[in-house]
Amino acid sequence: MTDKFNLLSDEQLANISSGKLWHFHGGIHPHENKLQSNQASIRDAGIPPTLVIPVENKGHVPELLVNVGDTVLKGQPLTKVYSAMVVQHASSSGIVTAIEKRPSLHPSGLPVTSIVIKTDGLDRSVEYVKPPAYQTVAPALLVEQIQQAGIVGLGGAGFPAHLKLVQHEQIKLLLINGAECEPYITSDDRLMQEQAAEIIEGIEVVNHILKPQLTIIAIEDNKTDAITSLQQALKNSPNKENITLRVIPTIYPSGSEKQLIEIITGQQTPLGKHPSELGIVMHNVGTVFAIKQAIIDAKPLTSRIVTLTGDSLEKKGNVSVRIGTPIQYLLDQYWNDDTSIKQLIIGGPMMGFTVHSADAPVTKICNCILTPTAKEMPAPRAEMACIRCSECANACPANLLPQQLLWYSKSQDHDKLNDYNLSACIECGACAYVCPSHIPLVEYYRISKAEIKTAENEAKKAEIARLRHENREARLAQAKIDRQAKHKQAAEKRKAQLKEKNGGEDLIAAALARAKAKKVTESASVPDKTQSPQKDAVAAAIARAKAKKAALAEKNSAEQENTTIETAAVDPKKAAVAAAIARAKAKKAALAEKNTVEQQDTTTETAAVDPKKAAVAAAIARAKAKKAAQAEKNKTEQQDTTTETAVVDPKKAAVAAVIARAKAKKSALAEKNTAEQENTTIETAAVDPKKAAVAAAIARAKAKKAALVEKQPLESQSQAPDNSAVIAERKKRKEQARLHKQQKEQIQPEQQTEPSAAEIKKAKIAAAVARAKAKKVNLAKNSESEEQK
Amino acid sequence: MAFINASSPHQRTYRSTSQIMLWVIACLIPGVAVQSYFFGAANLLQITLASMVALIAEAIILKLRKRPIINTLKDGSALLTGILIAVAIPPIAPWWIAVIGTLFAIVFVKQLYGGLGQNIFNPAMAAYVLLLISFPIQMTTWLPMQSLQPFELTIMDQLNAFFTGHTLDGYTVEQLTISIDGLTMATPLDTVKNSLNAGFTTPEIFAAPAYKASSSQAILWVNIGFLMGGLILLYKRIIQWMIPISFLLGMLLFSFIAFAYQPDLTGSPMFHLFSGATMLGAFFILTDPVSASTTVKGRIIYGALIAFLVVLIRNVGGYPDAIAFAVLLGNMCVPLIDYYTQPKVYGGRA
Repeated sequence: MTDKFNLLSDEQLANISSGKLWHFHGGIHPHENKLQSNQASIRDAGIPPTLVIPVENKGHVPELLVNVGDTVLKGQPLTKVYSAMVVQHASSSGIVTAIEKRPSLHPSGLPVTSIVIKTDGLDRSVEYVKPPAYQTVAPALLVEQIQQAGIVGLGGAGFPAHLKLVQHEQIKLLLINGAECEPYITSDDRLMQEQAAEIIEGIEVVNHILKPQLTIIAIEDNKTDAITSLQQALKNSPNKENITLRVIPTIYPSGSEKQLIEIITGQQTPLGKHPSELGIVMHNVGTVFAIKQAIIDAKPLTSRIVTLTGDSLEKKGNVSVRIGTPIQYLLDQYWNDDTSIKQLIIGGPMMGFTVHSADAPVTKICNCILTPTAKEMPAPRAEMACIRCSECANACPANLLPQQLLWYSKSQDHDKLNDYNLSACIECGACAYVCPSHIPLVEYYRISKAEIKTAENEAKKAEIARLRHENREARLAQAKIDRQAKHKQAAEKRKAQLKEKNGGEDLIAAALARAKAKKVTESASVPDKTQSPQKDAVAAAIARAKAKKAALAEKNSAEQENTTIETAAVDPKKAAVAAAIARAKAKKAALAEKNTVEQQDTTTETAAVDPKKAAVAAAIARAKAKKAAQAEKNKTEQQDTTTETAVVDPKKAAVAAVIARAKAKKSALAEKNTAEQENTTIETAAVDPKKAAVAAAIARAKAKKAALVEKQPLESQSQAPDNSAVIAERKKRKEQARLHKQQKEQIQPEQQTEPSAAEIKKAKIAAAVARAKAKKVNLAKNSESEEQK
Repeated sequence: MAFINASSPHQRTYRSTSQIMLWVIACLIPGVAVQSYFFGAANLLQITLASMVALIAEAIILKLRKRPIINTLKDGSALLTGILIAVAIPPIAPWWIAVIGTLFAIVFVKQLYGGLGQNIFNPAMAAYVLLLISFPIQMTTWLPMQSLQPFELTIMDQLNAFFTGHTLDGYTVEQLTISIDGLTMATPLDTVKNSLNAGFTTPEIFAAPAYKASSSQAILWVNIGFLMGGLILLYKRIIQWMIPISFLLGMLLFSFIAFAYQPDLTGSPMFHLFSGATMLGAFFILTDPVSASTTVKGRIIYGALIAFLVVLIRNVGGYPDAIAFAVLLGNMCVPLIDYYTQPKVYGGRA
């Protein structure tokens, strides 16, 4: 649905101008109580000693044009134009004594920034320069002037008047609200009676701005004098054809914007939309009067008509009050000293709010000050249970179901409240007025509206926070990816640069490889250097650990290993050949042993020199392994044979070592660390007979493990793994290590370097530990060997 | 100086809930007076007893619920419930009928649901149904008109019968219901139903002496009495026109349909309108605001629905008078009716 759809059509306008009136749903007829205050003419309230003019609007304070200590004149602007806010003017001449927080005219009484002026009683005003005739001025300029004059809706809402005049195309109907439906209030009544001609002039100004097709003044039929006065003024006005006076029946709340539109036009403003969507603009008569003064007389808005009524006051009536007059000043002039004021209501009895103290100033929205006695407006009776009589629904001008709203308000069901259109409630008070159970319905709705608003605000904030968090997460993730990409790029760039520099060689990789080898050889060669049994034990332990790791990780390789060992056992010739070659190489390398790097090189050389043979052996081993995998009985036998042969014949051990080396190279692809460790250990073993023994032990362990692993599927799976063989093997290895250590001591005493004192100590401790362990192993081995055999 | 803080509106209409209830009780007087005239003053005893029990029961429950007792009792709703029950049961029923009925209505149907404004079912009607089903004999011993009674009953006789079940002379209540001719007299509706079941047609029934002995005239006048009271309520705007008008028109319409279909086997619309508790129901029972629908359209549907059910049960169902059952069934439908008859809010889409 486009906006234009709802605009008043020409037939509708014709209907309206013919004088037809409609009704809105509901409405009540409270006692009017207007006679107390509409009999006397409007008086001037006088100049109070202090004026307190609030300049804050919803927390925003516009730029001020005055400072403390400045002298101001009446009509001098105090604030700069700030977005849509109107300007505040000084209502009388005097000196600005303070700009501070003062109690506001609001039920909460919260302080707002106000300009406090100490008046000098002279009431000197700025020079009012008569402006050019408004008929010659462009409407946009007039609208700006209205904003500059500080005019807000004087009916009580305080909406800036110029905002309603901004959209001056497509306005079909201009409604002037002279209904004043609320009981007790008579300010518009008296204004229409006394200033009818000015009001008509003001209407003409607005007509010039908006150029509507139809202009109607709506007035309730209980204001007979005002009707007469306006009719007289219209007769005298030159533009009387354009302006129509419409008298509507007295009912509350006919003066409410939406309800008045329904009465005059029969159309309902769509929910959530502005009457301008229908092409209708409504202004209060007081606003129109102020517009006239601003545009034609160049007087800004500095005072307004306020009804003072209520039985507590001695003199009741309407007064022209300067904006910023403290209420106490008015009460002092009109208050009856004998009765004490119980309640101070700003506005009428149906929609007025109470204020805490009389220090609050009269602002532009204050149209009535009502001070009832307790008898006049007794305290509300106790709230009783709702009897579902639906009187409230009958009275509601917005056609809501106040009973349901009450239910959901009590249970704080915000979704249901929105379903039942709580936001459409105009808080007119008709429902609470008729409720026989004295339920304060409007209070419940106000609380619920505030709760819903707070919840919505929090949800919005949470949503914003969530979005920000998500964006941040995305940003960080992206930054990480970018960073990694950058690093990768830089690394490649560096590599490429180095390659260029060194002629295609990847020096870094080579260095890394060397470092790795160095690390391994260092750990393996540590026993050579120190030549102490403890270090040998440590080295053996390390070798064992490495062997264990490799054995655990690689079952396949273990099987292959097994098979290689088997093939070695089956085919000793080739193995012997390879072993011999390896030994020779090892001896060569051992003589030149000073630099671990050289060692590495030799190992790599030996590996490089004899890869073919190793590869050949490996290939044969693989083939045999496949064959042997099917024959499971042989495996166990071969295992035994391998272990026995290893123990008895160091040659065979060397063979096993070589084959193991080959296997290690093959598995280097799968597991670098363990393979390298194995490789180095095995290579160094090939170089050094002692190391060969160690490597042999490792190989044996792996074989055993593989055998065990193979054994398990043969045996029933529910059986617990048999660890006794492993334990025996370990003990054997320990013994071997011990023997190996002894051999070392005997063979190479001259290679001993001078150890430091700390090293000696450490070595001594380690030696003691190793000895103890060896003893244990011996004892265990003796008993076990008996067992096994 | 600190002024009183209050939320608008600061003025209120002066009609309160207790005033409404008192008005309703007041407008029951014409009908009750006619009833007393024709059937003896025993119904006044019932009213007294039921009112006392209602107030006492409510006070006890409010004390248990820790609610303000005097304020709540002042709203008169318990009193009204008690009186309605007393008007609905046979005047000569024993005292414990009224006591049990009122206790059930106040404690179970009203207070246990949450008190005034929260009960789903009409307390008086729910109590009536309970009594009718639990004590059918006592609930169907309707006395004939005083002029037709075989024995003249003084107020003392009635009081005695009320408390002991026997008159001063020793006759039982059942004996009192038998007329001179030996016919068991019942309400007109009862007579019609039994005779229809026996195979007579309505013209025969209306011509038979049994019908004349069944106090049809008296019942007619009682209904007119309640109609008068109801019209006063309407005028005073204590109740709204939607429910009574829709109910009566519905009764007229549906009984006319039934009558037009089978004139020999169903009562005429006028018969239905002025027999049993039709008028009492239309103005005093259906209009109970707590258990009735709340929206305008909803109330019209509610009235018509109950009218339909009344005619249905009277003609086809097993019980002679069906107002109580129909009202309870209508109460059950109220939430649904309310949901689907919401009015369109100002400015809302149709």
